[in-house]
Amino acid sequence: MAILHLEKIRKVYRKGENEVVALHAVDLDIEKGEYLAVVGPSGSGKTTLLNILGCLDVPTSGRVVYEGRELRALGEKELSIYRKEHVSFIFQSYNLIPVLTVAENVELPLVIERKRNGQEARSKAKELLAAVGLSGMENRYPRELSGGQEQRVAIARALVKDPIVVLADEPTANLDSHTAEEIVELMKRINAERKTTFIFSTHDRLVMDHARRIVTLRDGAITGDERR
Amino acid sequence: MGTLFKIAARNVLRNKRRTAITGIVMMFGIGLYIYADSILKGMDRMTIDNMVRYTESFLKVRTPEYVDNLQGNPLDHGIPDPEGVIRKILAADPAVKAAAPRTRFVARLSNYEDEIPVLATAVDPVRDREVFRLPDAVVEGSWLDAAGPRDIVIGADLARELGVGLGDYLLVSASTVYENVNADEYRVAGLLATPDPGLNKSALFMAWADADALLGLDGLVTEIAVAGGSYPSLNALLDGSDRAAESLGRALPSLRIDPIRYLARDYLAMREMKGKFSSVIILIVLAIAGVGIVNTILMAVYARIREIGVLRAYGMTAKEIKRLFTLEGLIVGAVGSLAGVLLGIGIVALTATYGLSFESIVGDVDMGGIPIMDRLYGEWNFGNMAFGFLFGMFVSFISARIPAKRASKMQVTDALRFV
Ligand SMILES: Nc1ncnc2c1ncn2[C@@H]1O[C@H](COP(=O)(O)OP(=O)(O)O)[C@@H](O)[C@H]1O
Ligand SMILES: [Mg+2]
Repeated sequence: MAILHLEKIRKVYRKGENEVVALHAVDLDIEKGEYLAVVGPSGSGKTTLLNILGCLDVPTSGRVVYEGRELRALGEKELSIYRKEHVSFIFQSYNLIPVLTVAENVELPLVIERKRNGQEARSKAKELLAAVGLSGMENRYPRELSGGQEQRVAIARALVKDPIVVLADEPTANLDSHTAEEIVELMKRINAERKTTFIFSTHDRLVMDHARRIVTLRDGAITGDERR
Repeated sequence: MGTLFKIAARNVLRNKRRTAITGIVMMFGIGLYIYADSILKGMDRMTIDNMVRYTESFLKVRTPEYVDNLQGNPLDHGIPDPEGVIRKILAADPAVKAAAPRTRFVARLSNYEDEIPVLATAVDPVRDREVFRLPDAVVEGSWLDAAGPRDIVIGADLARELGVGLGDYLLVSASTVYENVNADEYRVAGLLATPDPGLNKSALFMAWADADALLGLDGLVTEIAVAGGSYPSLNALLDGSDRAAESLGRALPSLRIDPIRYLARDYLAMREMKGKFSSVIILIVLAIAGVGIVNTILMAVYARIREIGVLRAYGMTAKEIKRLFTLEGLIVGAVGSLAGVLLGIGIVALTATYGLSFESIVGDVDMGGIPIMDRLYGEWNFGNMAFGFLFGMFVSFISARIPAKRASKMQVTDALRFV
């Protein structure tokens, strides 16, 4: 059974009189442990799709089913658990908290979750920083890191709560092509090791070539779905 | 909470300039408030101290009938057995340090050309100086205890108006106890320049024996002025006087005991108005500081919209976001308020120790041509400092909540999209 099932998803943005149809009639099944790229030109609806999958946004119509349960039907509390524990985000511009150290940034989701004590959070952060190859950088601040390093910290931050799904919106768009490849390879390795489902968007051919499945969006509709 | 505080505190530290500007406005606002309050209280203190030292004393003992007829300065309704009463006063309360009998009467003072009505007081020159500081205010000549018979001490302005100086003779006429008018000639032995212009313009002091001869007082004492100890603050003085008056009232049930709070009631009522004035200062300045904090936090919100999106995406609630930015405002407010209190303490410490010369405050006001020797000392008021601090915190809290609320209302997706 698919971990995420999208059915006839439609998303319309209203700006005064204007209506922008960001997604229309999107059907998609995502299996647990997939390494999936959503590709398409700018404005094709990638961000909108990922936001809906991450429950940051709600579709205008259609169903999002997570592990057999429709998200729309979930109560506020279950939704919050889904957001806090099951999905994580990686952003194009890393979005680390500048006043927190690398380790504190990685711990942050656990702190927000309030499920683990400080020491557990600290050792978990250390473990993940090692996994993304940043051991010894714990006490640096984001401004002291390169873009690639910042994105690795963001990946560690996304993984610290052992999520089922990681949603990465153009995680490599701000990086040079060499670093971009390193980042997709890192995500791919973690996907293989931890069976974490990765869904990332990109319009970079080099990056999408690493994916095991490529879903192509054009003008808010899926025009291709290729597995390899 | 720990991490929220960490993020808030570090952001405050990071935006040093923004924090500094808001903090400095608050610092000056609260510092100015504490200073203004201290000076106003210091003026009160000086005024009340002057009343205690020169005109009213710490508390006054009179008969109820005399107080009822105070306007006419009558020569009846005297205190029965004044020496016995003085002994009781001195024994009744440890706060009482001295007591002096006085009798007031209305007189006319003449240089044989002009005649001026004056408020005369018959005093015991030795005991009076234990209660009042009048001897210190004698700028020419000497106080009555060093003078001879038929010597008087008058206000320096009064002497000028009558065109007389030390050693000149004046005619004093007054109604006697028997309600006929008597007059006699007296030598000016001392001139008074006190901080109270009323005394300087129309006061006459005469030794007991002379007054007795002039008016036939026969031991009549209309009031007993009582001296108290020294008190660290105006409120302590007022309270001390109240307490002493209470125990004297128990010891002397048939007499009327008026503490300085009553004797100075007109001035104290006016003081309430001045208190409102310093409240207006703090309101205006802290309103400015409040706008500063709204602005500071609003800028912090706009600079960190995407950060807000990230925190929300990772499960932080709108409430926690609001708390985060409120906390930042509170930290700025706490820093500014604390600095303000410290600044206030510093200035008050200086003015309370060294004082300000009076002219620098009131300017070149004509005080009847008499130099005011007093310096104005600031008063310590820790209650008001605490109030200044808490009010600063309150203003910061209210001000920070406006932008904090805006931050918490932001849509997560919009916040993340924001560039
Ligand atoms: N908040 C919004 N309000 C109005 N239109 C929006 C909003 N977000 C996205 N859109 C529009 O929806 C379409 C899809 O946007 P998006 O999902 O960001 O595409 P992509 O991530 O592929 O660039 C675009 O036309 C975009 O302008
Ligand atoms: Mg996008």
